[in-house]
Amino acid sequence: MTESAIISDPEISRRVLAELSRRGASTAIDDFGTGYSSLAQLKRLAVRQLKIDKSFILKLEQQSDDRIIVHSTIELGHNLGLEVVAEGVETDAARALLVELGCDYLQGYGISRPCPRPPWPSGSPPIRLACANPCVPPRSRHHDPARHRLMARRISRWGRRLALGATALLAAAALVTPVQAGSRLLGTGGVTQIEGAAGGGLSPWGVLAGTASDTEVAVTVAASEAWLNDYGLRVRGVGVNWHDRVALSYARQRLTLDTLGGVLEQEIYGVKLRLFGDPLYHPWGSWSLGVQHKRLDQGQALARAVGAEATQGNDLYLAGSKLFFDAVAGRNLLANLTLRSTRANQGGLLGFGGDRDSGRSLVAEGSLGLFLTPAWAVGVEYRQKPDNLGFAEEQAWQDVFTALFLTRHLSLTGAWLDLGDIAGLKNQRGGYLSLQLAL
Amino acid sequence: MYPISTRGYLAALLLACALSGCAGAKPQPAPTLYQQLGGEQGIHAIVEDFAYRLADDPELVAFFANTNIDYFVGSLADYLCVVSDGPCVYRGAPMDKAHQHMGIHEADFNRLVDALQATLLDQPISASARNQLLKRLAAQHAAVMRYQ
Repeated sequence: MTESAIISDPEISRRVLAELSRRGASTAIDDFGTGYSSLAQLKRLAVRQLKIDKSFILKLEQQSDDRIIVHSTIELGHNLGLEVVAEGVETDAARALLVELGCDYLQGYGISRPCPRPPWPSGSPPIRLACANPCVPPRSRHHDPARHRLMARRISRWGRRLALGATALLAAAALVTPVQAGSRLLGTGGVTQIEGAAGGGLSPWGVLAGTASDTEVAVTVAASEAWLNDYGLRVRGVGVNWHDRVALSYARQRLTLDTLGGVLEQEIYGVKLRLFGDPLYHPWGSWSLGVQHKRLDQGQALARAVGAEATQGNDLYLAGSKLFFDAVAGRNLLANLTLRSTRANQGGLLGFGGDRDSGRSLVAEGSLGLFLTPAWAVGVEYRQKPDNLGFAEEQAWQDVFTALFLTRHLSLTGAWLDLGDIAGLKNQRGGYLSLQLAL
Repeated sequence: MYPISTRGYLAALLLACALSGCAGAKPQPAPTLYQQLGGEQGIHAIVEDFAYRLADDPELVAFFANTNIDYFVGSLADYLCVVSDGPCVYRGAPMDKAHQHMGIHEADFNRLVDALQATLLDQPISASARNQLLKRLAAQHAAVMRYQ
């Protein structure tokens, strides 16, 4: 049915479409977003599918505007209960990106050449439809892996929100009751770094989370935000320290691409084992071995499009922390050194390995924190990173920070970050704030 | 404006002056930690405040159930005096023997250090003196924990 027919007599068109639907035909709005197709049609006509015009799809990888339009249209369609089809899918990257965005059906030369019209079963009503487009045989809603992934993600997201909420409530309860969070000196567990482990802002340290000693357990919950020139980073993390020996952590990073458009999300599962020592009492300080398993949850297509080899990876690190008493102007200085083996691009947010270097790199991270008072530290951090991707250079991360340990249960960290170039956008600098609750 | 050579000379003089303490006065020996802590009176105040904190901590006070508190307080004052280079004699047992088989956990040790730091923060002493004393006592951790 052409657009001019609908325009010339909208009422008859509406009735014809309704009748067709009643007889079991599947109806779709073609070339949505161009020509006469309007939002009003979505409301008026009894259609089941919305087909996004190929002009929005063909340059999806390059054009952030197109990504935003397509993303929003898919959401719009889904919210109205429609299936969304993308036309003109010609590359693997576009295909992956559309699956990522939750598109239900894909069509285009990247999927399949035009297929012959299936023969009509005998005895079916004499409806003639034009098989005008190349098509993928429609998959059943119930066996659509993309839809299943989307649903699984939504369910797990709610699960995590519940878990985070429950932990936050517990932490709030601990704040108002005089529970001891642990007996180690204030600040000796650091804060929650952006990957969820105990450390500074950027690097994990050789100590474990909170202030738990050998007979105690500590739980930490942290929320951090960074505001960079072209990006925003949000981190939510939880950690458990068992007897100051083993710490488990989970963090979820969300990088919003304010300039490029879109969102990257990464999950990080961490384990840290304290090998020996103590930052205050042992001459060599406290040394720990850690693993961080990272998985890109959203933005896998982007990572692959920029040349990453994988969308998940494991970082292995050895970290040491030592407090030097009376080191500078009578104050105590906490020094940290971390050696990390990693393939991560921009910490994993741009995937793992790349066209320039696919193997592991050994990188060094370090920080110095001066305790001006036992509850207030200021310092600097530096984190070296691999440079695996040919498309954009990657530099070290660094920051200056100040951390206030208000009580054993509550700390507040502020920093000024300099994260270098990220995905081709120069000099990403900005503020950072992090709040940690411990019990 | 002085010519450049004169300015260089003045700078060198100033630097030499700063390094040597200037004015030709006799160099004062650096005060010992004992002096920085306020001598006998300072140590006495520290020990008294600290003993009250131990008594107020239900976990820590249990370790002193069978202790003669007067003896403990006197012995601790002597120990802190010696550790801070003061003119005293410590007659008690060495740290490992003094704490053996008390069942001290890291958590207990840490609580005690925290209490001591709180005590020191309440004294009219410098951050440097406070942290120097903590440093010297922290070094005893291995000895205290040796026979637990």
